[in-house]
Amino acid sequence: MARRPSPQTAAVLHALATRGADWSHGYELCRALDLKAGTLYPILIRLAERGQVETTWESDPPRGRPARHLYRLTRAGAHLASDAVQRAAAPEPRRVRSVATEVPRIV
Amino acid sequence: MLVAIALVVLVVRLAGALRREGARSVARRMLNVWPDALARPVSPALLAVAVGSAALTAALEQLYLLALPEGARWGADIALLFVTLGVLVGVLGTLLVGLAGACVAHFRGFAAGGVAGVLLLAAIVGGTLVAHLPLRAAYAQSPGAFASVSHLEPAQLLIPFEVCLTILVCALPWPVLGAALGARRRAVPATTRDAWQRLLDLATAQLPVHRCSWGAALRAELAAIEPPAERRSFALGGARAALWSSPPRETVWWVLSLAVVVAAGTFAASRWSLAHGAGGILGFWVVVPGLLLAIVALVTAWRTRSFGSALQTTFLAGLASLVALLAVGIPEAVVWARPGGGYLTTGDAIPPSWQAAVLDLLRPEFLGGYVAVWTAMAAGGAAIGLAAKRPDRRPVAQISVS
Repeated sequence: MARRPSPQTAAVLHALATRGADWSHGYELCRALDLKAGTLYPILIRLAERGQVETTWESDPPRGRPARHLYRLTRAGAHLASDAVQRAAAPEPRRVRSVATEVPRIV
Repeated sequence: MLVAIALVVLVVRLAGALRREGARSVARRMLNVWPDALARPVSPALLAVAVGSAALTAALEQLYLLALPEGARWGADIALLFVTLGVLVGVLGTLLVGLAGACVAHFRGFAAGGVAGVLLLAAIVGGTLVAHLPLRAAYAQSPGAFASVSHLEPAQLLIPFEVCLTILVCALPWPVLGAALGARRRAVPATTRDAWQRLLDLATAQLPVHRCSWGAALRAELAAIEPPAERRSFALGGARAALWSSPPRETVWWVLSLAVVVAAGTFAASRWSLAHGAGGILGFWVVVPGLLLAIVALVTAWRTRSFGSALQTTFLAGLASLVALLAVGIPEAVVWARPGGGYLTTGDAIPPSWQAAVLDLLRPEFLGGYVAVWTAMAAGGAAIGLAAKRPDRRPVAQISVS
């Protein structure tokens, strides 16, 4: 059985799931989820290395600024995100509360 | 060997520069590097380093001379403790000049980094010599005025400071190697907007090759953030993520292998030495795990192209080696605590009890000595591993993130 994602990972998955096929960048996710870069990026790296997040580089950055790295869920990541939401609805007090407190902040 | 590697690095760099720019341009640049380096406001800093080194050396020398006669009363080998301290200070100085060379080279190029490292080393050695030579002259003139130590030859009283100086003089290749390592990542465009961008540049410069696009991602993201407080917060978080990234996959394998090899080696060396009356196995513990850690660092740095990953893996492997050393060493020390044996470390006397035999293994001068020598060998291995591997010249966007 797959390991249950941490509340922060579940929040990242949910935030990316709400964006659907649109790309997000790191700072935007940091602000939306109120996470530090030191917490967000290891999660993104892990999700990307497991094939749950796909990445690309900004194709047309403004002059004088390097292209940013963009992220969105793969199909496997979308499954994981929906599992995380279903688990959030399941009656397990501590986990449900953790994810449930993150989800309204994202939406 | 390090001198040879540093010379090879210099020759390769020089040949590359000659090919790219021509002999005249290279000669002009070489002449300009020294006055340029000295003209910058580094002279006060170098002077401060020299004065600081002299003050530290003088203070430690006075402390050493005051503590020597009290060693027997305290139950500590002061000379050995200071030799360990001398090794540690020498290794730290070596790492410092290498790091200085790497940092300067990262922003200003190989030549500037090499010059900065050499000047820093000269300041440290110069300051140390200014404090040490008068004491040495006084000791040579009237050795009877100084305390004597039973297990040291008369001429060896000041050996802790001479060990430190020898290590520092031998550190001459390190500024060159550090500068070569620091200049390698200049292929990644370094934006120097403010201190936070510089911090993140440095923290992400040594990510392993399969993670380096994440370093570029963090740097690009920071470049797009405007509010100073947000920039600071993002840079600190990003630096933390880069420095604490998970170690390479093969780390567990290295850690377990080293623990098994050091444990088996300790047992074999102990039993062989006891059977042949060859004395303690302190030398084995200093050299063999150090060499193994150097190999681990070399291979990891070569595979990942990352000094940080090599040190991360080597740190965990070194910790496992220390645990293995103690796990086998403690029962072996009890076996040795009988007539015909002695202390497991030095084999020079019969311990009064098995507790004394075990406590001898945990003496801080021994543990500090292992850490100092192992650290130096691991850092050397990592540097050689990186120098041996050609840098990845692909654009960051082409390097896979998975």
